[in-house]
Amino acid sequence: MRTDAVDHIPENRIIRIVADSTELTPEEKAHLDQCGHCRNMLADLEGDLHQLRRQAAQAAPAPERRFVLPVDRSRQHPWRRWRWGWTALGTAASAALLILFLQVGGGDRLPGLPPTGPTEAAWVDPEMEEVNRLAENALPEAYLALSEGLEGGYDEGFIDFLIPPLDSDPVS
Amino acid sequence: MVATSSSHNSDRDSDIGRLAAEARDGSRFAFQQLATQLEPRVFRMIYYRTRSREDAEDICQEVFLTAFRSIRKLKQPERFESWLFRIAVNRVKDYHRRQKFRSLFSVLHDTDSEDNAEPPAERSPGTIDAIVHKEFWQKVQTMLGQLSKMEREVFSLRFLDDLGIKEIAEILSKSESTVKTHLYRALGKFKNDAAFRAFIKEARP
Repeated sequence: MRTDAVDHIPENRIIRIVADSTELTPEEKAHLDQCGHCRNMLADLEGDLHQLRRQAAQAAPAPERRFVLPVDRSRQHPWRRWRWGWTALGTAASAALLILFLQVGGGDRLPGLPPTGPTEAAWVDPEMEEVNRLAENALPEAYLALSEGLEGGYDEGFIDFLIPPLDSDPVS
Repeated sequence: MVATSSSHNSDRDSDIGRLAAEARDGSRFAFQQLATQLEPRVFRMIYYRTRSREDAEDICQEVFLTAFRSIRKLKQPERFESWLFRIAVNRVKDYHRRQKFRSLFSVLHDTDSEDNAEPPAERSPGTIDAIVHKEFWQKVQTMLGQLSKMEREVFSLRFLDDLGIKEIAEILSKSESTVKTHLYRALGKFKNDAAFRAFIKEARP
């Protein structure tokens, strides 16, 4: 390549060389060694780009947080690794037992509680309620025994004394 | 100069490839080494696209966590870096989708907060830096706004994130020739943006 002013490296070639230095041909390299104009043009563009990169780096802050790897679970003690597994297994077993107990124990009531419910209450007859109430309020057993004794073994003479028979009445 | 840089990149890549292979085989230490080495770059890459430190930190955490959980599926450990940046690009896309969705419901709120934004109380060095940085990102935003979506993406990956053509092609799932085409166009627009280049030059030490 000639080095006179007419045969300078074209602008588009300068751009290509700046973008990718592998684009520089041996002829262009030889020309640059001899031509100050082309060398300055190339250096000027490269210098501006270098300056742009430098200023951009200066105008960017430094990160305050640095990347730290997450905790390595594979290096934990086996017991610690399985701890959550056992917890989950225990919870599942408890839930299964509860469901089983509810199914076997009656379904409509919790185990240990007396059977209650609107169904049973709805069948109570008001007359039977009265009978039950009277039965509950009956005389105590001691009184019942006493009256039973009177009926079973009373003294005939004493009765006659209290209520004299008609045939023995002197008036009649 | 170019040869030295290539050699340095090659050494870095082989180191990353070796660590990625060890991490894939179950070495947590190797993955932590990878994270330590690549986190600043990945964080910056995300920050350039979100302009929020908190969001960039969150996304960066997600990216490395995803990589850690999926590294056993990585077939080519030498391409770990491209793979990681691909995860990052996808996470950033998700972030912008979420932001877009949220913006539909908070237009009024955002307008209010912009109007009520208080000027800096005092001109401390930190405040001046913040103003300079804000102006820089506004200029970058304007420049990138002239590019198409794909041009913007390849330009950012190449010149802000310092990735090669091959890596960009892998990250974006495009052919190298497609990436180059977009990159040439983007670079042509950058070259002709005299105002932005003058702004960049002003800040040179």
